[in-house]
Amino acid sequence: MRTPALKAPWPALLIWLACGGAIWLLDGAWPLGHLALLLVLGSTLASLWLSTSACVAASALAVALFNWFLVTPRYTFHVQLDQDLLLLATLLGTSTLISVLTSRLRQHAQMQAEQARQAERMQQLAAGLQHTGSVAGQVRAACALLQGWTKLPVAVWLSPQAPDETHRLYRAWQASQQEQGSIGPGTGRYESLDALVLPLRAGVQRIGTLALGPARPGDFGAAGSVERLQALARLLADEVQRLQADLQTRATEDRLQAQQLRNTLLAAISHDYRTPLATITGAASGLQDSGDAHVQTAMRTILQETEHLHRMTTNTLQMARLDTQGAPLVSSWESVEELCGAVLAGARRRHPDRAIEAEVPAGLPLLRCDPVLVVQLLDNLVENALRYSPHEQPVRLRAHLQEGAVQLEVLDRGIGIAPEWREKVFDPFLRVLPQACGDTGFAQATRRGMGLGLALCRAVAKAHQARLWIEAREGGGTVVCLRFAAQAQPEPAPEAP
Amino acid sequence: MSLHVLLVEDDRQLRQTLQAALETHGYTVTGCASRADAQALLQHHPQPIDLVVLDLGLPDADGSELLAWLRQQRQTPVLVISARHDDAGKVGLLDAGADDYLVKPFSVQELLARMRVSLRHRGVAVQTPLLHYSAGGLEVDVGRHRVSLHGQPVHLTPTEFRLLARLVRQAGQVVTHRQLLADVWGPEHVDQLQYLRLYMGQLRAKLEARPAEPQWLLTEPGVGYRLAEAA
Repeated sequence: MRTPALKAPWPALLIWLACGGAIWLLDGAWPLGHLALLLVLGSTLASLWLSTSACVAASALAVALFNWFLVTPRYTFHVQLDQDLLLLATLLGTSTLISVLTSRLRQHAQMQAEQARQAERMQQLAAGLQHTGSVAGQVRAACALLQGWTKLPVAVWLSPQAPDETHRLYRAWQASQQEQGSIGPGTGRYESLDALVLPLRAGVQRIGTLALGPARPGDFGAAGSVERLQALARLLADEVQRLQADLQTRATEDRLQAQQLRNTLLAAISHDYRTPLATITGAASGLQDSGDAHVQTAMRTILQETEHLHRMTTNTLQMARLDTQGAPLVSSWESVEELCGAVLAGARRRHPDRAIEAEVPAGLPLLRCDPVLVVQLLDNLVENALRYSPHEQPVRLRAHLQEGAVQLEVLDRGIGIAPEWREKVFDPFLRVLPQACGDTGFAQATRRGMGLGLALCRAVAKAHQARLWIEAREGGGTVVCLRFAAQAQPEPAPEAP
Repeated sequence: MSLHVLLVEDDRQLRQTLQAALETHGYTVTGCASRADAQALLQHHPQPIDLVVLDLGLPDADGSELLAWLRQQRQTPVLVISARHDDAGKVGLLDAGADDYLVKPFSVQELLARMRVSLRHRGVAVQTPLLHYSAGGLEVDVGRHRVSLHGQPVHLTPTEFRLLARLVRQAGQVVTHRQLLADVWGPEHVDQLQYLRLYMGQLRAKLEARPAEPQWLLTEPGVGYRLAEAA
């Protein structure tokens, strides 16, 4: 540790002058031995203000002068009497010893005071940082405290932050990144730099940089040594990292909790909606067997409506699920054939009297997707196509390879969708206005509403990085296209052992 | 004596509706709403239970716990009805010994059909596994490694045949992906779903007239495959 800066040497000079004056006045009146004691007193007092080496030098000079002016023969360094020689030797020894001891004592006291101040600074910094809830607040608090202590401009960059290339300290910052340590006066590296640049290290990880300066040489003495500043920087780094970790943990917990709540809620709603639907379906399907034609018609209506309600419930739930940030897709390798098969089976069951054509060539690549969602998407498209096209016209589900990617299409012979509505129909809760279709019978049908149907389709497509769009069909009607991105195929299956 | 069905469903409305419907079709139905009641009825009812229709969400336990308990005791067929749509749950139940599942809402006709399959299959499975399958022109003789379609022999690779034979063993019932992968490719391949997708595609290309709308090799989305009931 460096010796702390000494106070100005003027009081010491005054003491020596006073002492010299006193000796000069009393010369002749007092014996030589008494005057020597005065010199010892002067040396002792002066050592309170001087460094050890200065004390020793001053004492030696004083003894030499004493010899020159006062010891016979005067005005020579020659000493006549043995007892005077002994006196001078004792005088030199005593005053040197006293100055060394006094200055050591003083340095020790100064060091202790400095350590106490450092401890106080550490405590203040720690308290200031712990009561701050944000990392930015911590940096502000630390800068203010350090600025107060060093009287120097303070700058902090937390990784991955960095100073602008035009910043005064940019080069210094860069050098400290390269050196991976402290640089500047007192560090042994880049001593000529006008700023002290310290890494902020929490453990072994460097989390940022602290810069003090610009400063004149010697300014860094004011707040203590580089080691003390490094200790403060370490404290700051530890506190910042603790807070960052805390904040991260809290955010993760919050997110987890929110997701759990949402999942619980969705599961509950899903269960609570499906059970009454199951009751209605069960009752109606049970009664459908009874003979009365009126009852049968009524039952068919109930079943269709229940089915519709069930579809809307599922759409809403899936939409809510997809809306959750970071909700994972349950992806697996699926064959286009089976996905289409599931859609066709559902549509045929619901509309046994409608013509639904399928065109799924063999040998299409597998799709990595969430099968439940993709089936729901296609199911919604087919249902819309069936609802909005004339009863006698078939609806077509087609799969093919387009530019190396799987493209699925649902084609109908309805009256088509006007170009300006082809994007808007994917908005949630939008209903196609009658003027968009120009057909009142059709308007009647659309009043049933697609609700979230197409919006869910868009959300599912987006979740799979697939494109979903609407085109006019040649010869009248609509084509809804879904194109997946080309995917690297999994390893081929080996022949079983 | 008519077959005795234990209906475990905590929703009173649905239980009453299903009970009435099943009774109309000639079953004797005992209803209950909790795991505790179900266990007591299974153990102590004077008329033995022939089939259990089990709802998953019960007030005092999850239906899967009742299933696990029941499977330790006896082989009574269990048909799960569930409002949950997550496939993992369904697959877990099937692997744990459930015979089939239905997702709410479902029609009474569908429930009755599944019950008939479960009951018939139990009767057969206890004796010998199916070695011969015949339905609508498709004939499979597992013992002789022979497959024919409308009288014409069909050539299958060894793996294709093993896959088909595995489905024949439980014709009419759903077999989960994991079961199929473990039995055909070995237990270390239970997660290689793509093997199944590819081989099932090949099988359908050889056997089905319209592979996207299969007549025999039916897909159970997210769960597994089912070979259509033998005629």
